[in-house]
Amino acid sequence: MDSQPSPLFGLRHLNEMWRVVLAVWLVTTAVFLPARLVVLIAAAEAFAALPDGSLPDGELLLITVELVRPVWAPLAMAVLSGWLALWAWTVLWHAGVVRWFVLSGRSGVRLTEILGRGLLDWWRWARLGLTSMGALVLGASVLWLAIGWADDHVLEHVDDRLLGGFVAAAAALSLAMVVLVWLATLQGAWLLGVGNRRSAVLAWVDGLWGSLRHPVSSLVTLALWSVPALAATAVPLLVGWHFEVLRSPLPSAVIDAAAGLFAAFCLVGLFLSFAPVTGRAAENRVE
Amino acid sequence: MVNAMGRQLFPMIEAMSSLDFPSRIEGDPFRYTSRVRFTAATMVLLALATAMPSAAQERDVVDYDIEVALDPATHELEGSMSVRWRNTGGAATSEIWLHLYLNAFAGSETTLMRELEAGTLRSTEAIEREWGWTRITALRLPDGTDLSSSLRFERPDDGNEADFSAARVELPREVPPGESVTLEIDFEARLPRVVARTGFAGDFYMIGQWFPKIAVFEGERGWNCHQYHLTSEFFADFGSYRVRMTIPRGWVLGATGEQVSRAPVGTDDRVEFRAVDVHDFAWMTAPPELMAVVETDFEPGRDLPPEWLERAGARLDLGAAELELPPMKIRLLVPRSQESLAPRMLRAARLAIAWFGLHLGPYPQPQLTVVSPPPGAEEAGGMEYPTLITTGASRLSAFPPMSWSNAIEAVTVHEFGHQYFQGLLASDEAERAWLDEGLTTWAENRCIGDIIADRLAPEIRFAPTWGVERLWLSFEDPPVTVDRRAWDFRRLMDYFLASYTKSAVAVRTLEGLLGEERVARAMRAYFSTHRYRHPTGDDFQRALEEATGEELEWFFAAAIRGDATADWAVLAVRQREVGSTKGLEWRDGEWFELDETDEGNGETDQGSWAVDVEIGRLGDLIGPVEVELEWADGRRERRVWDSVQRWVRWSEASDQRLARVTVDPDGRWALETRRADNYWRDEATGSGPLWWVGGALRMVGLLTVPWS
Ligand SMILES: [Zn+2]
Repeated sequence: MDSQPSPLFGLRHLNEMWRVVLAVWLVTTAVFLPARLVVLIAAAEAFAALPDGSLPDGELLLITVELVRPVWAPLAMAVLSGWLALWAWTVLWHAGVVRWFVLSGRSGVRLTEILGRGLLDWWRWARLGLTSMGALVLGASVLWLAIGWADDHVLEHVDDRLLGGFVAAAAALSLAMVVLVWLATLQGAWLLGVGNRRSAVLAWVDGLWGSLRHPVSSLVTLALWSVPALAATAVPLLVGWHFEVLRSPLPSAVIDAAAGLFAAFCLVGLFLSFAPVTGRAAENRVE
Repeated sequence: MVNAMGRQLFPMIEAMSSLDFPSRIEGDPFRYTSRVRFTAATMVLLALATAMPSAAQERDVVDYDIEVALDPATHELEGSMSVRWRNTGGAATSEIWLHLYLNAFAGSETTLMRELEAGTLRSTEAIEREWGWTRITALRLPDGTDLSSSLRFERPDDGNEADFSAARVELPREVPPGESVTLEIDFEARLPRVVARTGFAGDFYMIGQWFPKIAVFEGERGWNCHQYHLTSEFFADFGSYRVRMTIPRGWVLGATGEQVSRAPVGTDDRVEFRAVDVHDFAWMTAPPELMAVVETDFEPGRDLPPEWLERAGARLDLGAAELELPPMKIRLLVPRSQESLAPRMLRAARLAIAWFGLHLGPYPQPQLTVVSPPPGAEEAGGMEYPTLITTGASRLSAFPPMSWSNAIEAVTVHEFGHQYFQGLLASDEAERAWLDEGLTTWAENRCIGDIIADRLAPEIRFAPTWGVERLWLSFEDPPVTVDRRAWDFRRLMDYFLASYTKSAVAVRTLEGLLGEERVARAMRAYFSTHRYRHPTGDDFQRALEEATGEELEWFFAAAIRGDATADWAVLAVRQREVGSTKGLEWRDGEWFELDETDEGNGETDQGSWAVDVEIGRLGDLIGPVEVELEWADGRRERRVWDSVQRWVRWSEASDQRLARVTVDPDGRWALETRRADNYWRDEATGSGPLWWVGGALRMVGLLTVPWS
């Protein structure tokens, strides 16, 4: 029973990980600063001159494309490099936290220690991430081929109500695949830290089996942390969409910062909640 | 004609520049253009019109009687026909030109296939060696005179010797104006696998451009007979068709016109259709297991949205009696697998009939046939033949999120729109595709806009109209000319940008400049004047000018026949506080030092500003543009600048700072797609609409988490 993920476990250990939460928040904000800067340089001045009231039909779309088009290459580079940097960073703190949790029996957490350990083992956890992406690509291709085959051979003859079911099933399968790959990666990241495992692929596969063996606790843990994280990320957009006053620089910066911090809190909590799958982490850390 | 009209641009510009600018203009700022003086032109036209054949004669140029049999085993047609052609061209001719358009599918080197390869739309590989062709096996006069030896293939558009889609036949004697000649033709044809518009896919047959069809004789200009192109195929005279089609027993059939009879012949069925006042005949057939037939109607009492009647009445200044629409039959041929979409297709067809009937005039045919091609025959979709249109849908269109798109409505409305802008206003699609596609796209956007505004298709959540149309236009590079032969564009994309997007946005711009009501009335007048004729761009321009009373040559020369781009900008705004003058003052023949206490005039108390506003024309389209100035106290004023010069500076003395300057604040110039520099603001606050960028990037960032 101890080898199942537990959201409570994550919550209990978050307090000693507050430095990691802060670091995740800061890095997540920082990696996309270049992209924000590109957009600001290209468009801020012109956008600031727009009237507050209503604009002619399609005007905002037109102006956005007009301003962003000349900088699309630097913008794409900035977004892509921000994305890669964020990925590399997530791998880093995942590796560091796992190594620290599994190897160290001490209770004081130092950020430098976590980052140092993460840096040392970065490539092993990066391979896990790549395995996860490969699995996603493979799964998506299989799903795509299956849908295409069904479209060519079966769907022409089936009743429309069944077709609706098919569409819903295809959507559900896609979502299930993403969730499963995510769960396998979370568990695999912890299992990769147990003993002297070197194969990220095997750890990922073990993580997959682990998730399938304990689907309820895995899913509940993932949902309890990821849904709030996702919601927090969406909050600044939703709030700005509905309340025009909150779009001005100060309120939007405050909302953005608060939402980002909460999302970082959830993401670290989510990762820690999967520590019990190592079994060992659980016995070491539970007082 | 073009050059002579081009010269009229200059008096127009003079008139514009002689206006007293800057001036504050009340009411409609665009009404300052001089009233058109048409007297001379109208006289010439009247004289020409009396020499031309009557409308009734123009509607009855051809009379086809065709007998054809389809053999699904070989995909072949065997036909014999008799066609009576009347010379309405105003000059004698001793030849007749024919479309043999199925030959465009005969091999990889035909003009169509080369265009297919060059374009990115469709691939010739899809034809899988199932080429299409047609062959005239006998050609004679009713008295038995054999003409087949005088048949020659012609390549008037590109000289491509591998193209056999146009032909000419010599007659033994001249046909004088007003006289007729009858040809008796036997022909064979094989239909191609459908890669563009016509052909077969499985047991589904969409049969268009399938018989030897007489081209258009234009008198002194000679015969107008274009080859078959990827981008154009329609130009023919009005007349009547009686067609008897032999198809496998029990197969469903849809065709131009109305069914007269259906009877078994051997193991087959023979179906007769008749159509009048049409310029083409197309048909579709398939086994009943594949395609279902829905027979229904358009009943104005039930299908005409009352809010549309009211709005059209206001727009056109017409009463309900003048907007009355007749009931008509609708036949929908839909794949059995798409039957659940039939109600949506029919609703779209009914709304289209209502909208076009209200705005342009009642649809005069008794029946509309709508065909939705089955899977595999998608290339036959989105087509317009007289009284028969093909739409396009996937079964998945029944389910969210695909059902949220307006694709079914957009295609159905667009193709029905062609019943007007092509079926009834039969312009030369090869030489002036924009009169078909552009005006249809304009009307489609208007009709879809009304459908969305009145929530008549509540499942639609995403309907791109003018915003997206203008966004497409912003990608023209270099600028395209709207009025150009359909096959003569640098890229296929330029054909689309010019013929669909830019011409539709140009009409939208005219609505902005002249007002929606005036353009709506002008469109109705254009339709009623030119239906059953072959209107040209000049006809369209003249109809607009007559209905609105405005000289529009400057606009058509620049935006339709030329490639001038519309682009204006706020170049600079400078504001200087007056009253803080330092230095010397010349008084009574001597220099005096100005000091703090010496206030020459008391005006400085309340603050005084010297304001310079500079507006520039960055594009080469010269036209009137509105500029709005908003002062710090909220006071707004509008001015019209003729933009004849490259820039204008307005110097003002005011007790207020200028807060905002906006060029074309209402977006009347839909053709202007570079809009960022149209706005200036004194105190730019924050980054305005960029508030969402940070949040959006954070969302992107979240995507890294599951894979790391
Ligand atoms: Zn069209």
